[in-house]
Amino acid sequence: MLYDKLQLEKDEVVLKTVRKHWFVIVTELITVVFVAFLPITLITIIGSNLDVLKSAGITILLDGQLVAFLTSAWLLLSILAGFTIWTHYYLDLWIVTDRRIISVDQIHFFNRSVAIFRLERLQDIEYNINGFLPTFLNFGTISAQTAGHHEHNFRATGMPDPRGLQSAIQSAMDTRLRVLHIEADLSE
Amino acid sequence: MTPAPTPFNDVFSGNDFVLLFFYFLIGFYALFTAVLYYHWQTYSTDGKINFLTFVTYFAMTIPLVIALSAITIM
Repeated sequence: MLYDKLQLEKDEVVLKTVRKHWFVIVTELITVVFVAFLPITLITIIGSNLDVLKSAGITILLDGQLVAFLTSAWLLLSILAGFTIWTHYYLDLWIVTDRRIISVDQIHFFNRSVAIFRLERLQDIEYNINGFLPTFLNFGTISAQTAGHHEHNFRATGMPDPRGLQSAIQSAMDTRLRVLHIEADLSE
Repeated sequence: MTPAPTPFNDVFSGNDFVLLFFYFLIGFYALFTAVLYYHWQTYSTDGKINFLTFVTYFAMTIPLVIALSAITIM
């Protein structure tokens, strides 16, 4: 499982696990379903209009066995495409712990990037909700900037409740800084 | 209507092409299933979702694979 691979620090607590908004996957899956049923729709239309086509001088020879084979193959490939989308959706996530943010980006099956940002190094967290549907369904883009030798920004689109996520990260950041200051004071 | 002769007529018949495509498809399906299984086993965060994903995946694909095999053999 993923948490074994990430090797959380001792006493590190996972505060939130965030995936993209459901609207993102639903739109992608609707497209796949539409594409999957395209040949069946086409065959049904042609089948019910064979007389019209014949009278127009167009002859279509349909080999039932071949049509069934190709339609089944098309359906199978569409289902595999649907599961690819589901896998990318589910395995692409943000894990907010009390010490860091772990951003797992599943780009495709053989392209995966994991970025870790320590909360005490975060500077700005910004969210952006742009458009009618994102406003209505409450999803948007969240981006953050980290301080360090190299300025580094990270950004995630289609995140649900970006306002809530921003405040959760902000409060985790404040708590982390407080803990670090207490630890520093005690060590002096 | 007689089908137009092609240079492959002596080597491959239409059924051979269907059979070849079927083998290719089954190979691809097996490979895809292995990759999918590996990813979910390695990178998932919830065992219950893993189980549901695999049940749905096999419930949707196995009947189609059986149908494809039956059509190819017939």
